[in-house]
Amino acid sequence: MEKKKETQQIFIKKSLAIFSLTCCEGCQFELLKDYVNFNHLLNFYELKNFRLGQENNLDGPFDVAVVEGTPESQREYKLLHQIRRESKIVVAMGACANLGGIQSQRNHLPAKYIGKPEVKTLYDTIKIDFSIPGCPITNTEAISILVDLYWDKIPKLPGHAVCFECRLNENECLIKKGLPCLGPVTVAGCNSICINSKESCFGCRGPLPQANFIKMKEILSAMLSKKEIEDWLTIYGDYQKKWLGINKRDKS
Amino acid sequence: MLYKANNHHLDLVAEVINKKYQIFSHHKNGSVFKYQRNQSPKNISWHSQKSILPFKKIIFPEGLNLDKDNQKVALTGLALCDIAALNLFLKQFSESGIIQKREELLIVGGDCSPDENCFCDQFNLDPLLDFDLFISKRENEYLVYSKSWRGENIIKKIGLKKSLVSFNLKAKAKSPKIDLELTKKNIDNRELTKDYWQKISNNCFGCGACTAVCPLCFCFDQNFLNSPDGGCKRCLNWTSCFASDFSQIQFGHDLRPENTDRLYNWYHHKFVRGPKELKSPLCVGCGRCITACPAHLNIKNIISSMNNKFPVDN
Repeated sequence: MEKKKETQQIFIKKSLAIFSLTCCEGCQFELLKDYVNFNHLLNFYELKNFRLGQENNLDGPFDVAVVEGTPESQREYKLLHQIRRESKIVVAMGACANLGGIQSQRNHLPAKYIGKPEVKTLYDTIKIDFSIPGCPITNTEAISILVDLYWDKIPKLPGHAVCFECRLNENECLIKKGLPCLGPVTVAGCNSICINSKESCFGCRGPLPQANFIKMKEILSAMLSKKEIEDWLTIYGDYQKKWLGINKRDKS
Repeated sequence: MLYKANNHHLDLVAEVINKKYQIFSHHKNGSVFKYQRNQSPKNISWHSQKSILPFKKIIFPEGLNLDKDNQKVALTGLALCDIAALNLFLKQFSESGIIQKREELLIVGGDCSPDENCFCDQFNLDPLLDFDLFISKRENEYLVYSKSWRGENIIKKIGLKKSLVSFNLKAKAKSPKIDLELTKKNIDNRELTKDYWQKISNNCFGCGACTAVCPLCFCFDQNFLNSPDGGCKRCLNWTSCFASDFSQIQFGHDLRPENTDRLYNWYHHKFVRGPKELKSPLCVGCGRCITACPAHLNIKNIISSMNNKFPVDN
């Protein structure tokens, strides 16, 4: 035990900031869910700015900045650009930051109902280095990504679909039972938490690079109407748009 | 040797096994069967059921920690296809020291009831399978077939009577004939079958569900996990040849960039490289991948329709 304490003191702390733009702030609560793990995280990081968790918040520069939500007001756009200028690494946390979130459904409504600019993801606004997907994020995954970043290790999201993890948890396939599910096109890492409790996957973690949307629509068309399929594929933002973005980035 | 037994004898067999090994058997869990540990030697189902994940989750669990010691394990109620798969699995990992050695395993087979997805009769599973006991049910008694000294030792302790009934292990599934030699030739000739694989991969999600449930898919990633308390753990995670990071090398360069390459690689490993390296195809016809596939793909139909399309020597 003594040895452990010694090693903890050697760590040179990096500075961490956790910002929240327009969203439900659920991802920040998810980070705080496991106090033990979060306390361990504080051995690596000095929390400079975390409005939900502490009163005295400092300004940058930060080594790592974690941002959740989408920018809506001018003030938030300004804050976002400031974060990008002042931090070495910017991590997009949660489905809102990565895909646009629930609020981005207004992008698909007729213009006369809205009277507001389109919802933009963080990827549309600034350069993002890494992402922690999910709605909400998975506690263990988020902590391990932050620990990896401390050690300058490039965190990697799984390359396989939710289906892979769903089978590891020995669930029956919902699509085989005739229920709609976006598991086959969604990035794994959530431990198939929804399907474990017999709920369909809504694809909060975003599309896989190899996602086959043509086949997905073909399979869903046996269960849902055309309008419903469009709704399913845009629950957490425009799935296919993000997917096309990924593929472009890979090929360039 | 073949012996007669009744229910009481089998309970005794279970108790003898339980002294030395951790027993695993099939348990009904909702509407599916899971292969799980028996805490007590009672209520072991000797009959084989098709669980979603095969024995591989016990001897080679996901996230295997390399610093752990191996436990002695008894795998009961394995169907013939699973025994064949386990033999190949042990052959593949024989020198690695990652999984249990043959001495630390007790393999107990059991009757199976094949469903419409089974096609084990296409593979020559019967000869020279390596297992310890096989328990088969007849009208009002059980037949216990022992094939190794471990099995004989267990039976000696209980003292069962020999049986003179004729008994042979046979693949029970009845599926239309597939010419595996032709399949091998066709898959090896990629130029010829290129369009065919493109067509199949258009209907495939590339999700990797089939590789998760396959008893003979043993590809893994070696990961170094930094834990938040400051340590670092070396573990092996299951991976899949359909994963986008599986064939990636430096600077994100991908050796198999398209799904058709990955799908082709899966079949190539199963039916071409498998026979070359392990002298047997890496498929035993258990049909688990057919049940697991969300895109309703069927390996049985895929290889037989390929044979129909490209029939004779090419």
